[in-house]
Amino acid sequence: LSIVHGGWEIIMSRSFEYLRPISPAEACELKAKYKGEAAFWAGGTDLLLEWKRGAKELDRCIDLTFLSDLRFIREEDEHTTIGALTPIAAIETYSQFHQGLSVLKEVTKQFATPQIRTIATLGGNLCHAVPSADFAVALIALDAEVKLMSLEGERIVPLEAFFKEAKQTALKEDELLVEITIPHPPRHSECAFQRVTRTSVDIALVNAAVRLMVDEKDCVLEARVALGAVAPISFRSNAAEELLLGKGLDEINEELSDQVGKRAAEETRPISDVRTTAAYRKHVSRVLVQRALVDAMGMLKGVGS
Amino acid sequence: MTTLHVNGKAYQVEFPPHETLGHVLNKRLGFTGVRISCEEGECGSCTVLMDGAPAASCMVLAMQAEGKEILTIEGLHSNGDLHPIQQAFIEEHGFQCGFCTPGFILSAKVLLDENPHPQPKEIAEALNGHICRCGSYPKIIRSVQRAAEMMEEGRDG
Repeated sequence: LSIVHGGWEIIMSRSFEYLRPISPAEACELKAKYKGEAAFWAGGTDLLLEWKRGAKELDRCIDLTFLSDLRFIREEDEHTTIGALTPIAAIETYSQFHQGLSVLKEVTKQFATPQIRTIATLGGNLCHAVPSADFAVALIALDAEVKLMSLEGERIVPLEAFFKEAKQTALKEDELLVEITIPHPPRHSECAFQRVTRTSVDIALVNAAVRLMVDEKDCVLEARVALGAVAPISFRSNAAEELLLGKGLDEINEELSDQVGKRAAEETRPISDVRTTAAYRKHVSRVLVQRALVDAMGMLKGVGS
Repeated sequence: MTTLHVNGKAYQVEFPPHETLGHVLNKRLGFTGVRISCEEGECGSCTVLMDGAPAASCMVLAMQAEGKEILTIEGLHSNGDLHPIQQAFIEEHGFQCGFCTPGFILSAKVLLDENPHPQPKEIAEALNGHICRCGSYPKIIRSVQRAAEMMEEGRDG
């Protein structure tokens, strides 16, 4: 039955032990037992590549694919909760995001390719914690929290505090990310997302998300300006946000929106790499924040982006 | 032994846990229409449908596909008749070497099942996870448009 080419055997001379829990509790038990010798495998689209390239050692794979309890999108009164193992494609096809959360669909459309979106999961994207993760930026702008579970119990961490360094999160060795919760904005609110890439399927050179919440007079009650791929972790620019507080939407003209972009770009710490230069990333940060701000204002005014 | 459901049939197959779905389909089960190429999820030539959704079979473990209905290009015909998308690719010359074609056709099926009358821009967007090194893109888009017409005629007649 087995027809194996020689070349394959050489490339794939390593393997790993495969473990398949069927409940989150069982997954946590396995992780508590093996700790750093085992890795949670969500969609696996990042982990598989790293393992094949030899960039990641993997003795044991705890495959989370069969934890169907963690595959859901649930809207409640005050928040929407997404199970960590929800495939990106399910966010794309979800029909009824609460007002102000539709940016998630926008991010999804620009996320890799349809064939990856079927496999990759939201929780996996966040736990891999690359500086350019599109969902990290959008979900920080949306003030999301994550729920982490271990045998000890559960804890809630704001997403902003979840990312520690490039590819490092607040997850302890025995913890599993189980849910992402996004609060529903109490007032009229919109969030816009922008990214630039070399090709549509490549990771972002820079990404940005801006969320505005306004009162009944269209004055900005809250502004959240988030940037990604220009520092070890996605971050908010409080200085940029302060420029917007209390401003009427009509007062946010081209000059002010450019100032907001400029202020945010000043806080970036980009690197030069194979994709582009630090100087380009800094410049584009300014442009993308301004664009996302203009888009969010357009959505609030009901004229679309 | 793991059971994989491919093109409506159940296959008992044994493989080490690190093997990808694409590898098991192509090398162990002989579905050579699953074209293993970049092995990094970039090129789209190994695309199969998993429970109706397009998936890069090089980027998913075969273990993860247990219990899912997998469709490869070999399962697209009905009783030996080519699917209208396959027929349209032949009529409109939607390929040169043909290596990438099974993936393009399967993603086109997903698109046309959801959107029976796509605009060229919508076709290009739906197929952006596929690379054709021969550069047959204009003819591929025309083939999908032709397939949409043929499927429409099929529904009417």
